[in-house]
Amino acid sequence: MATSDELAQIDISTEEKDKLVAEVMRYALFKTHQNSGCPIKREELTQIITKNYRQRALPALVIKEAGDRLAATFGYEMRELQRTRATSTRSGRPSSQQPNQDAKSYVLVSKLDPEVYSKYVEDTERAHVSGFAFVVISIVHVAGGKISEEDLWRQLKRLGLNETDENHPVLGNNKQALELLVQQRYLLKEKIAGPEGHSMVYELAERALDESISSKLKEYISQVCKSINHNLRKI
Amino acid sequence: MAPLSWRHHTLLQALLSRGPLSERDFHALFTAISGGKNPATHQQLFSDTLMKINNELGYLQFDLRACINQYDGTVYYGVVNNISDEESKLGSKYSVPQIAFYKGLLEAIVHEAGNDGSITSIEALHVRIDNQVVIADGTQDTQSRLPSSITNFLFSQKEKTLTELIQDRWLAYTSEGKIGLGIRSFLDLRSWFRSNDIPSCEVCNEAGIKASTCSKEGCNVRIHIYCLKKKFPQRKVIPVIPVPLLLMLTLASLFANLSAHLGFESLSPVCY
Repeated sequence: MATSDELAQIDISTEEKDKLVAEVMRYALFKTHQNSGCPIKREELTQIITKNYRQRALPALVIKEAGDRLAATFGYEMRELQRTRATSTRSGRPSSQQPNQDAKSYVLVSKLDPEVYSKYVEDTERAHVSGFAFVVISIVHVAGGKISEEDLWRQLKRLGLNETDENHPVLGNNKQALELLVQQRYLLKEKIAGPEGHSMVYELAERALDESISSKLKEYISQVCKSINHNLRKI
Repeated sequence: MAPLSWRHHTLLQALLSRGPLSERDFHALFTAISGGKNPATHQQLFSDTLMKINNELGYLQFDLRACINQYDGTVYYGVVNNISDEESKLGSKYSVPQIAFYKGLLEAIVHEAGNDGSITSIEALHVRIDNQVVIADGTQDTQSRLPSSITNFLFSQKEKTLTELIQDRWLAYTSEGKIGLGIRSFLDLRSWFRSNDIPSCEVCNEAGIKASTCSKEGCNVRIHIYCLKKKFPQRKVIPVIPVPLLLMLTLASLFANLSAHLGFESLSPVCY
């Protein structure tokens, strides 16, 4: 929490600071609900502060305290993600020492024990969404982190998910379900030029590459592979 | 700021993730995370836990509160937002015409449906939305200046919105298959009910959306069925006495004695 000295240096009262922190927390909670967990850009949060205040150090201070309070009150971590850029737009030069602040985004992640979360918190009505996300991210991961749109749908078709199906009994519009993963920054969708014209490619994005998800993903994939190997040996 | 424990966090995250929980489910959750302490037998602990959570939520203008589903008397717990600001406007996934449609449905259910608190699906789909949108400058020709998303809101879009509102529990099917308010509406719209002069229940003072009314002509008293049952739990009759119903209710002990002598048959309160 900001000390009174820090606030005095920034020339803002505790009440004003508390009001800003509450606004940032409310924004993070409502936006997460509205956009189904898509990352919130840091610039959206700083705008809440800079629309009325010009102090340079204030946004960082307020955002940090908002994160601390979300953890203390709700048990949510406001995890910072560095936005993944598409391969075609990445420069060949090494990344600079100071990451671009505006490329940062945040997602609210529960800090509860996973067993407690799955037993008491998880909305089982939305389990199909998590299941679909897991399958798609695993396919892209096993394909080396990048897969063409055509190949991805070919794999999904084996699970009964057709690209053109708009009335799937569980997912509804299959294409929109995949597009949501792009909006949630699990995947990056890129148009690349090839010998036969343009094609779309999916890559893992920052949310899927975040350590908390990628480590579990690798563990689950290895469990599936072990299970397959075990069954093959029986034949 | 007093950090809450993982138990408080579990209660809060469950409500935010799963939506409003029935009393049975919320109590079961509390019992599980508190190591077997059921709220029915540990009322003080339960109250203190909710108070501690609300002390922290107050900073954000949120409340963890209980309310009753007026159609079946079930108590639900949920987290509600108390102020309307720019941030809270983000909390809805619905578009402007969808919100206008919901508002039209709300008014049809609470005003036109009388004390039944429900309308048929056909009535719901015929609710107009162009009269729900207010153009700021209020000039005479406002109807023609309504956005096309409002004027061209198709029947099929109404059907889809109705389904979504029911799925999200803003509306609900009643036991008769009609459409009434969902638990989210009861939790979130208490102040809207008051500001729109929805008559309150004489017993609990909450809006009487689904309530019994006095059969006497000109008497607007209404009471929820579950409030009636709580008020007169022992008897199938409600005595008819020659005093205004409000006075009768405030003289509860005198009333209980009178009913033993008079022994009337009707369940509906009647005033003389």
